[in-house]
Amino acid sequence: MSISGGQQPSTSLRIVAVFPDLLGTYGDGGNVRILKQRARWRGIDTEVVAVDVTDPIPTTGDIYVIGGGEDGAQVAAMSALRRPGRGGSALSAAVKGGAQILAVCAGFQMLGESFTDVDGVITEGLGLLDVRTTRLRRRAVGELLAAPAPELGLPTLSGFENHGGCTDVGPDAQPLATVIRGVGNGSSRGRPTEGAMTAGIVATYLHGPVLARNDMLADFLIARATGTELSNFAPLEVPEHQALRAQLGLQR
Amino acid sequence: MFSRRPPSTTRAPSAHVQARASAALLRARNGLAISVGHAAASSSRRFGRGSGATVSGLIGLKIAPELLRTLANARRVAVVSATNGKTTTTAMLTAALETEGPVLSNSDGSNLARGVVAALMTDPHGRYQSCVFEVDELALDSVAQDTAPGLFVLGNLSRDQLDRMTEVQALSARWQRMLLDVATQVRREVGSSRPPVVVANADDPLVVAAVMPLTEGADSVLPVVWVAAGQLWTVDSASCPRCTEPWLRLPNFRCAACGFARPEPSWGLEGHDLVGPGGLRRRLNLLLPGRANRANAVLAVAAASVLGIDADAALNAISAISDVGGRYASTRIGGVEARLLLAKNPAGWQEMLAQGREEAGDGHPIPVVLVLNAQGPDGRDTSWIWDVPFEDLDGRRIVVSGERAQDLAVRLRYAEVDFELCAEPLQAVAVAAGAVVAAPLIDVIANYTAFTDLRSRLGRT
Repeated sequence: MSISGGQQPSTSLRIVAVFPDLLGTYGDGGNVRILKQRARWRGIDTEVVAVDVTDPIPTTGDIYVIGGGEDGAQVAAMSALRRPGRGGSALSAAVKGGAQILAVCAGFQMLGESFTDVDGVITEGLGLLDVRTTRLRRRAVGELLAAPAPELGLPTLSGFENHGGCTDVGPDAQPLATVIRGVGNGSSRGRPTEGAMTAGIVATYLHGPVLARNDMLADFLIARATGTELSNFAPLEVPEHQALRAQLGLQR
Repeated sequence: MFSRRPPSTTRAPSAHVQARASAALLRARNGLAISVGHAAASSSRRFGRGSGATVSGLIGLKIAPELLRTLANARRVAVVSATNGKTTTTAMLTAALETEGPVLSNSDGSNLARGVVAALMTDPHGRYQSCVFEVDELALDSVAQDTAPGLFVLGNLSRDQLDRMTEVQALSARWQRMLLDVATQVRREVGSSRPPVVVANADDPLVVAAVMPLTEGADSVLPVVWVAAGQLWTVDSASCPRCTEPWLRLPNFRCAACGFARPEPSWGLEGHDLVGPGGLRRRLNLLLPGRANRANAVLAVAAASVLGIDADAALNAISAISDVGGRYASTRIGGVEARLLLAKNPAGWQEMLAQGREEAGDGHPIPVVLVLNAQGPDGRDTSWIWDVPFEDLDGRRIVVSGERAQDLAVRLRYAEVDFELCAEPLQAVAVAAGAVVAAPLIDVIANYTAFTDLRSRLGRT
């Protein structure tokens, strides 16, 4: 299996999968696999650490991946993260130290100030992202297409959304993308947006999983986590991604 | 401008007359429902739209909403539900019961209320006293309400079609409510006939959570038969279903926080052996391959036993089953023996791949065509393929096919297994067979609509 990539200084990368059994309902474990493989194909020495709910989250990760899950799982994960020394503070410290977090769906909501479940119960989030989640009147299920914030240098984002949450992005965070087709965050204020981001966080409602449909987003995260920029990476030739995006009507 | 009508001066019919009139009307309505339904079904078949079963049942219910209740009345009904294995377990239980008499079943796999009604509509005069129905997990509670089953067989619950299905834990809660309602009704009927029995998989925490309350305190009026049918796919029960606390899954699950634990089974699958009460132990020699089918067999034998069928007689009948609704059936496609297999969700695929490994043993690994669609009935989101351990296919010749072949191609690329892509399934079969010299047998694993499309294009067997 040969993939051509650019010349990169060999660095190491530690990917931390946060509670993969609890928060992996939508195949989001695939994001970890994609990050790992692409980093290895670029000659980066990569390790994956899966953290169970009963374990503390290490602060030494370079990319943390938090996936989606059902309501009950999300609440259980949140309570695990709130235990002293368990999670929230580790994630916060890691991001301050330059790590990246990829958070999908439930993960996205948990990073925020608070989220509301289907029974109207409000749970406090980790407060790492200036977002607040309430409930959509109707569950958002279907194909989602979004134009990413231009400064990211990424092509159109594509995926499948399946969420009951309606997320409001506050002033201290920025939407990841604007919706072309689909629901996205669902907030009624202004143009429909999708996801949210800060310097160290990419959060989204896109499943697919998101990196299967958007390989350049994976490289974006790897670049940032290894202290460089996407523009310094030569493209990896993985024809299956190109063919899939072409089938979806998307450009590279 | 409305004018008030003067009060009616005619005498209202007596209650007795009214009741006879209502009953006659109901009978007429039911009769009409059955005739119109059948007519619609045959026209549906003639115009080539599926088996027609769904149509007849749907129309029947529209004309007479009480049709299911009416037609099921006074029959012995067993219902079988699970995320995976419903059709096979239903076929097995049916075969076991047929050793003692005719059995009515929705063997075409149409498992919503309309499918059950359609099966009953083929026997409006009640010649078939015994019925075994496969029922969709979401439809189970309403079908149970209308058919008053004497036996529930509950196999497993896992993620499937997440864009259509309720969350899996919510499904477990629904089943629990259904069973508690049944228990309440039984308690109300003083001096009623035998209460319904529940046969349930003791190794699936979500099933156990639904059934366990029946064995506790005031609600313990329904007998429960626990069957250790095993469980490969444990990811959907990563936290305690009862108290949501995270827990460590051991072979026998137990929650340290609330005490919820795996119940003691009276039947089970141990390796290739069926074990049962009174020291019963039998080696399973099924024609249907794989662990999952052995588990289905144990569930079916336990259920048949509840209904008075001797375990050996049941096992004999079950061991003779070679295909279920086309699954596991072999067809010749262009000189190649192709075995059609169905897998619809991560748990099902995991069992299918394990079966493939078991069969390969130390022989030639046979080529495999993977056919993936994502239409409505399949679940439109293909994310779940990333939960499937396709790495287990390493060493086999793989051809990826179907409407979502390209999504599967990305998945396999990251699985680092070699594969070819050929979107059209029959061509893919030819490609897979292309390099085969020694043993012209290939496997075709397809998900729901891909499977039914392929079967109909190959001509139903």
